[in-house]
Amino acid sequence: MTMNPLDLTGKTVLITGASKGIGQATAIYLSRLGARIVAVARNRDRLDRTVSQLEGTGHSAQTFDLNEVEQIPAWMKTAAQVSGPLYGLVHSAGIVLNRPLRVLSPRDLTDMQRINVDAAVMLAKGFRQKGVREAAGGSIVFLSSVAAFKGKPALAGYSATKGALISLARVLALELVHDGVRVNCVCPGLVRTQMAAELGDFMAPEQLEKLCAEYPLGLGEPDDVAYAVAFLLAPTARWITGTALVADGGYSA
Amino acid sequence: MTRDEFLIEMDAILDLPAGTLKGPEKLAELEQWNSMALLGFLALVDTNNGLRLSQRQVVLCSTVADLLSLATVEGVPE
Repeated sequence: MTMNPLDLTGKTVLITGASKGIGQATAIYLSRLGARIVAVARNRDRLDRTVSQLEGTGHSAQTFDLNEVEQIPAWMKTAAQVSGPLYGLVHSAGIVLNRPLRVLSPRDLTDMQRINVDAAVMLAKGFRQKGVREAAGGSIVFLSSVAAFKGKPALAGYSATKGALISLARVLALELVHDGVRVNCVCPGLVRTQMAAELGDFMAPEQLEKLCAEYPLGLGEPDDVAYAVAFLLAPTARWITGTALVADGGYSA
Repeated sequence: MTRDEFLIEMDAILDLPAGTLKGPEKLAELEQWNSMALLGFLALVDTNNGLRLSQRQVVLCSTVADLLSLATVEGVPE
């Protein structure tokens, strides 16, 4: 009998940012591994398109605005009453703003911090509530970025938030260990998504070409990140917590 | 954003004393007009006018006045 080390059959996983890009690809891939997906985003139509592509049954879509950070734990309690206890949490929703320091505003910082970091904290807080997660424990994955390790001009605010997620994962890995919850980050490089395409609008063709040349294995696809998320979620990663798994085609090598 | 407000913001982006830019200045002759200043202009327009311009549109501008035109009306300046 063939064994699948990434088997997630019977596991319910909540994924934010599930309506597009990496979040969408992750939701689809995890469903192929047998997981029941709770897909979360703000846009109902795009969310429904994601759910229609999921394999298996028992999936659901939840529209929620993660800017409402104070409401996240209570919302998760309600969501888990519908979906059943969660095994996994993937925070893929995020904002990137290209802002050189000379124009970086407190509002820009707040906007990125709120979704990229504050929501991650509150999602974790919600996840550890009794009845929200499986009693035996679970696994949390935050989507950080290679920008946390390798600087690029005009990404100060964004990089700071992605670095914060790595620190957050390290702390929560220790704080939640007795709850049986592992906490890790995936740090993708540049992946072909709508967000990356918009980033390209800010660059001259030669700048974009130079950036692509910094990837020994070429630019990534959303599925490349989904595979890394699946690895960290799966029970075979039971001895991995508090880490940041870089998936960047060799960019930071 | 008014014309004067825009010019003052551009003064700041280009590290010039407030009130320096008037409009006819050629971008190629402004020492601080570089890729970071360009991104700063894009951010300024996005934040204040809700317009998402691209680098491709901006490189077609020759003067500060061209940038002003682009900032208020999306399109290729003549």
